[in-house]
Amino acid sequence: MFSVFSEFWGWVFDYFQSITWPHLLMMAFLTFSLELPRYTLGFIIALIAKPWRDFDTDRSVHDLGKFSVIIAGHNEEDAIEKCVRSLDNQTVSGFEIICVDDGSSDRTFEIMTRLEREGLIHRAVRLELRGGKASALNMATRLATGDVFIILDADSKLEVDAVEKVLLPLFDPGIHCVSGTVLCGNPEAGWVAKCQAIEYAIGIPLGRTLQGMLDQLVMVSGAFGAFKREAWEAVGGMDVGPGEDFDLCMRIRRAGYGIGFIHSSICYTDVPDVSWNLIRQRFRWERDAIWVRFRKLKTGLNPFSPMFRVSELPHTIEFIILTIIPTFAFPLYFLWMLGVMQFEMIFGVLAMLSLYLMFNDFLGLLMSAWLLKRWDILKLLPWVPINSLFVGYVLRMARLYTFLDEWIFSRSMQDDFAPFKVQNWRVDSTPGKFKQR
Amino acid sequence: MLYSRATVNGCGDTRLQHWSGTAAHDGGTRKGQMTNNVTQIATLGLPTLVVSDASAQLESALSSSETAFRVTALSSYAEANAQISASRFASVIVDLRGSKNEFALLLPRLGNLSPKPHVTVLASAQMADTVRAMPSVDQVLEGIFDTAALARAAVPATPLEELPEPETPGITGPQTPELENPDTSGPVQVLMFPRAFSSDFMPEDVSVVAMGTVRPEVIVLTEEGVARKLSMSLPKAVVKATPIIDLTGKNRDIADYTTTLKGAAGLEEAMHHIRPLVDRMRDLPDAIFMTEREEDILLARLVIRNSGIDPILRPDIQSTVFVRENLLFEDFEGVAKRLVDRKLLKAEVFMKTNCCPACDSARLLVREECRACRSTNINEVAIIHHFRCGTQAPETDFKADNGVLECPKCMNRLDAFSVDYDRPGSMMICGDCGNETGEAAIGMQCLDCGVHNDAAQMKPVTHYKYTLADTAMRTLTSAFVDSPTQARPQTDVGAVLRNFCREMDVARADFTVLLLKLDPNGDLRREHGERGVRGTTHLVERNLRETLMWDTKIVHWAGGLIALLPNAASSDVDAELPGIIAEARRNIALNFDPQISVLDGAKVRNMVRQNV
Repeated sequence: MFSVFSEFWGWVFDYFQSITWPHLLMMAFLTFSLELPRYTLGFIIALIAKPWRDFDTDRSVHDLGKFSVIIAGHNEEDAIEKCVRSLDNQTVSGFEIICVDDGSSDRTFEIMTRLEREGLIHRAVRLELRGGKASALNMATRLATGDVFIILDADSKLEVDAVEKVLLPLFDPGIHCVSGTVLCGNPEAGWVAKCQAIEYAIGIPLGRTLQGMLDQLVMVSGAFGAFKREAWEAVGGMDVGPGEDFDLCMRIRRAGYGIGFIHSSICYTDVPDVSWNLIRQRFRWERDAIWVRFRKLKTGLNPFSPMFRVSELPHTIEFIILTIIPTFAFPLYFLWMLGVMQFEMIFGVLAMLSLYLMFNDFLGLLMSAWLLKRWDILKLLPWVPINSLFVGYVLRMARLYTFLDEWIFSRSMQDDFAPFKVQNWRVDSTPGKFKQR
Repeated sequence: MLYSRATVNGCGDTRLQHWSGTAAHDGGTRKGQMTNNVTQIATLGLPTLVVSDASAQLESALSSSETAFRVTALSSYAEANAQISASRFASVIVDLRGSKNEFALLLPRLGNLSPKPHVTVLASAQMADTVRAMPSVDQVLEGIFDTAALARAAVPATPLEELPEPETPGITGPQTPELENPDTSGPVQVLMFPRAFSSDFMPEDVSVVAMGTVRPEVIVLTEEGVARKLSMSLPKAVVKATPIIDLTGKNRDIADYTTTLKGAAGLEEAMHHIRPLVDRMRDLPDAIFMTEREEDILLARLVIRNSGIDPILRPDIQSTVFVRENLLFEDFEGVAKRLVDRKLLKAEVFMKTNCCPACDSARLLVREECRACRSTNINEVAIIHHFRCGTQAPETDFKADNGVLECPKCMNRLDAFSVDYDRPGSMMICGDCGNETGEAAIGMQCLDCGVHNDAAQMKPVTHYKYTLADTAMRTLTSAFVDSPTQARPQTDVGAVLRNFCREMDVARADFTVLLLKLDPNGDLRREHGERGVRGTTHLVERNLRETLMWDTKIVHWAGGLIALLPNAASSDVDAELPGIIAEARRNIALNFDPQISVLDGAKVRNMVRQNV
């Protein structure tokens, strides 16, 4: 065993001995193509440049008007009650809870009606036929009487001050939607869940803090977020999904409304605990990102279109440079290495890059724990190596496959996440004036 | 302690004489509380003992568990003839049915209760002198109360001739605790209640009996609303088990057969239907009709009718589920449950109903209501889902001015159902407050008391129907055939001993009394039940009669047997006793371990004197 290690480090040493400037450039490109540490570096830059906004205020969130918590779920009998009860002991009260059962075949609606009888839910509506999450949320917001909607997944659980904190950024007149921090609620479910717990803990608090600071936040997770009624109704609510949350945010930005992020409002959501389910979920997310940006809202990319906004260019360019190009560049670079390098050298390069990815995640996790003041996140440190390899290589390949699949076959049109009856209607619905109630 | 004689306020019956032990007792409230119960008994003119607690501060505490304790305590002291009913106001009414013995036995026991109860003695005018003259009452009261005060307060009873004639002479007259058994080979003994109809013609094989003479085999009700009077006039086993014919058409609730034909024609028709019941009744031992055990009575009733208990749906009663036996048995469900536990009845759920939590009525108006304002003005509206833009809202939102469906979000027309849109569900919109919700609330309004409640607040009640087990008849007959003493009223031991002492004093003879407690530890009862204890007692009695001298008297008491041995020395009895018991054990299959006390004459005389 010792000889193997000494041999390995011998190769590494030899490699660094033989490094030349072309090699260094290749290394730089490889690093760039693999994973630019945009969150880690960006967060450090943000920290130096300007502290994040914590939206502290002495005002009561009730000054914002009435607010409604919206929950739509399909077959959520195991989760809906926990979700509703987590709302019952929030630091703020006096909000209404609207639940819509989107064609469940289990006891979801029975539980909702029981909770309604108990007074924990203010309205519960059952849809006999599943119409998808987007239409269910539209139904719920139609019933809601609040000036602010807080959208919540049925399998989400909130920290006791999450509702109050997610509303604080709305005191800023330029912010109409707020994203809270979504963390993994079931990290004990296995290594797949633990990897996602790390990914969520790094990506959401650090990434969105940076994006929020640069006013380039394009995502309010469907699991937890707040919307002013004004912005919601201006874009006509959600369009047919999937990817409805990203689509909604893009349209809200395009309509001139701002999106904010608050890291201290924390929601926990259950993540897939089986690797194949996770990969399928990522297929869907990546497809939706391409579909929404470059198909549904393509008019926004045309400088001659009235829908074009200069403010939308940075995040589009960032997506192209930091997501699309590295995804395609990495396999090409890997193939090139196979052609010009010896096997030992390729192995050494990948090993070094893997160590770099791990270090990157390690640092990100530390910063996230510090930002959220949640040191229990550090329990995930032993899982960082697995996460780095899984996210860095496996999910990157999945993303590559998805991009190709979407560009070539428009696979998102066949996504069964939305019911069949609405799949063919994934078009850019031009918002009309929402009929006044 | 002050004694006074007064008429019970609120009874409205001047025929009552009232002795009251009132120790600084504000009787007004209590009298008001007890009035109903007292009135019920008072109107029957029966001597009555009303026992309540004199301690005002215990009044509220006694309302539940203490009352139950006291009723239990009194039940064990009062003899079989005494009817005990508990009011909900911590008072107990003991209807002594004119028995001097029970009166005498019960009163000292009451004096021993702690805290001491407040005792009120009520007696009909006809019985007043008798009750007052009872030496045992005076003796007993002497031990408890200030008899001097009682003597000062006592005044002669109202003369009988000054009182109005009783409305129903058959009921208010002296009771017959024990009825003569009918001749089962003769004509059917029919009791016309409350009065016989006058007719020259009577159906064949029918003989009319007078109240209080022979136990009737059929009771014929000739007037409306006499059920309560009937229950007070006959032993309860007779009332509850005997077939009842209603010739008025107004007593359907308790009658086994109702006809509107008047007189003998009606009776003849009814007898035709009732005859099988009478035949089955005649197959039962006579002792059954003297029992006080509700389980046996219910079982006998069902065996006679050869049927189970099938509830009937009746909207005219509060519970809507009518069970005839509920009228006859105070705790019918408890009695039935005990029979079910003994596998003599089989219970099946007949129906589960929801009752008003305020008045237990099942007559409820069920209605859909708005969850917010409880208005019934709610309308169901379809929900439309527009596929194109994902809008989902009530149909009213999609209705354009020209009547076509138009999406409020994208303004497109909705033309083809299931292509452009569908209706995945519906919701309720309140016409009064505009509240929108998925499902209306279910509210219920009680038609009896008017209270309005949510459906979830209703009180669920389960009604059962019962079928008779195959073993019921066999169990019932075997329980009584081998045990003729079972239904015998319990003996007043004090009176028996007093009389025996008196006899022996007159005869100037020595005597010995043998007390046998056959099952002191309750082992026999646990292993073989009540039936085993009764059978063993009977066999031991037979054995003693065969072994002891011919002039030995053997009487039953609550715990076993008392043998009165005239002209016998206690030492002789002590010597012979082991042999006698060994002989009895050899003859009896069941193991029993009696507790035996041998009392010589002097000791017994002393006990009688001390009224122990």
